[in-house]
Amino acid sequence: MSAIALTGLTKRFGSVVAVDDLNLDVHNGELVALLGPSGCGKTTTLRLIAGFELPDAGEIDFDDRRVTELQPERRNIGMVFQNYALFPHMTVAENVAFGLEMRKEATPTIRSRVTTTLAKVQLTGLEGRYPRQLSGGQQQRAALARALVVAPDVLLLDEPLANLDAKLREEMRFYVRSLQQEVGITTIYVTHDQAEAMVIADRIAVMFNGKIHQLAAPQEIYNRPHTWMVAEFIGLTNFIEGNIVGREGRLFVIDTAIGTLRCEGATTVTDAKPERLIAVRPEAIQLSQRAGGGPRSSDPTMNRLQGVVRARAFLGNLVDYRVEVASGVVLRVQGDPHAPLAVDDAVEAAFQPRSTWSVPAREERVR
Amino acid sequence: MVGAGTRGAGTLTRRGRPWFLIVPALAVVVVFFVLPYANLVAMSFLTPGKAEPYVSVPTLGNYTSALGDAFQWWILWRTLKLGFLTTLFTLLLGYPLAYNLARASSRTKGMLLVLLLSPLLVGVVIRSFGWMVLLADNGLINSVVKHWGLAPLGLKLMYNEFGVLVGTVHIYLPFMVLSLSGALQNIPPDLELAARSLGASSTMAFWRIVFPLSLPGIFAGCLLVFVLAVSSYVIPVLLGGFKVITTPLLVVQTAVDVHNWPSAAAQAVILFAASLACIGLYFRLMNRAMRGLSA
Repeated sequence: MSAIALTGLTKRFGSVVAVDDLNLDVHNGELVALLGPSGCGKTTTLRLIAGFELPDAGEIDFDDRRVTELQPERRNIGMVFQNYALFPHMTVAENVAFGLEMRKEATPTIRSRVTTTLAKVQLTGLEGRYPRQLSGGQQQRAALARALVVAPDVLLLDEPLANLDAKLREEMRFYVRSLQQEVGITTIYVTHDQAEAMVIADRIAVMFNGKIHQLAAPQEIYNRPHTWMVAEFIGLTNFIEGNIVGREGRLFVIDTAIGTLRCEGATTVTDAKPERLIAVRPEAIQLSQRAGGGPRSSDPTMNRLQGVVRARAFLGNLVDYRVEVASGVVLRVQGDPHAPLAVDDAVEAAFQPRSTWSVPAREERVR
Repeated sequence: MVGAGTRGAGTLTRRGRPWFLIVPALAVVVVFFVLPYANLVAMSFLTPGKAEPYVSVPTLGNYTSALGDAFQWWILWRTLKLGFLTTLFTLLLGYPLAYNLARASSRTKGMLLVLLLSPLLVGVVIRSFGWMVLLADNGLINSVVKHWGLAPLGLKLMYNEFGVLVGTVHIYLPFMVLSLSGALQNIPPDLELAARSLGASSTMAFWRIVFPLSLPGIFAGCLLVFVLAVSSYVIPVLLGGFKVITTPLLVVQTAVDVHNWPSAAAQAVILFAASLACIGLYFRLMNRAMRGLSA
């Protein structure tokens, strides 16, 4: 087990910069998910760590072992591919034994380690099967066994669940996580599925255009996005444009087209430019009939907007509303399915400053 | 699964009668291939005539004389050897080419395919003639060799087995490359990377993963090239200059020059049987090698 350090890693394909001066530290035994849309450079980053590509600049270290230029077979990695890449002409046992054979282990050692590892992934009894005779989930576990049996320093997973059906994928998330915890191996997990990253990762690195926009725990990524791209990529977000006009303690006072709003925001990057984008999650907004005005109205910092329900969709565990709070400005609100609100009802949309977050506006070049 | 498949096929047959679709192809094969062959086999058991090609008197004489003739055995051996060597060299030359073709980006691949197939646009005769220009006693290679004083007497490059082999290897190479690259293309590059990640050097990854998985392509390509080389006529004629007699040449000479059709038929059937035996042996060897590759 080793910590992974990427320093100034850069990879170009022709004129395209796939990985752009990327820095990342993964602690020993930690699982970091590289999350981003396709083409953001997450898979290239993984292939650089695996040694399938060589970087144009930067360094890769496993603990104090510099592997930047090393051949893949000398890095002591375990890798699971999106399509598993099991060797079709070898049985499950032969697949799992392959890495140990390459390390010239003695035959009895190989046999016992293959048996133990297959037991760990619950494939005992399927040793003699060929990959094509396994279900998707079994192939997945065979691929994990093959990667883990060699006791690699780091485990690299490239969209390992993408080819499974939805239900199995959800189960496997927890399975992969518990297996990783059990083995305690430093892991980098590439995915474009935010829910998967949330469930599985200690920290998530959200990538766009070859850069990491934010590296943080899932909760922080969701509630305190650093850039509008992160906010937009993770979950549903209402964006409201505005300008900072003042401060009230930790809160920004922001002037917007639909009124003056108070919200939290990252202070470190902000003060230079007043243009902000307020991000409000649909579930952070509470709707009430306008006439009422309950006990919450006593809180003066609460953001209140008057609007009309334009659409309502029942989703089972919640209801999805579109509320027009100003001409042409529609907020998405998700809330209680039992609330007696109908289309064309006049409502008050209220949200706490601490459940909002402002990020630098789109125009600004995000670092 | 099985039930549904059977029912589906049954419905399709009743409704569309798709077997009608193979009737034209079947007719062509029967009229132009099966019947002439049957005629050839039948002819090989008839007695050669004096004025006409054969008389309808059954005999085994054509076979006994052919099989009793050491010269013909030697010709047959040479023919099969040519087939074997052509197969071997097209495989050795073609494999790296096919591998690069299979791994090339789609744009490069198109260009490489055109380059690979363009020789096929020029007939066998013309390409063999091209080799004659290069290999002849006063041809290009010999002029250079003599000029530089490397071999003052020149090299014997043509009108021998070497010349014929050069021709067959060149002409049948594209068939081998196409068979191989088809198989290699079906091997996901991730498999090689997976092997590398597990500690295999690139050489080891090739021999343990890529090579075994390409065996079906090797199998098909070798079969194709062997059959083509063993039955080739134009190349041995032009580059062997009737000094390198192979069974197809002997068959033609017997039929056309000696005008002994039944003997020629018997020789052809013997070559067919010998090729079939080689292919049968080859099938058994390959099946053993490919165990586990197919379901």
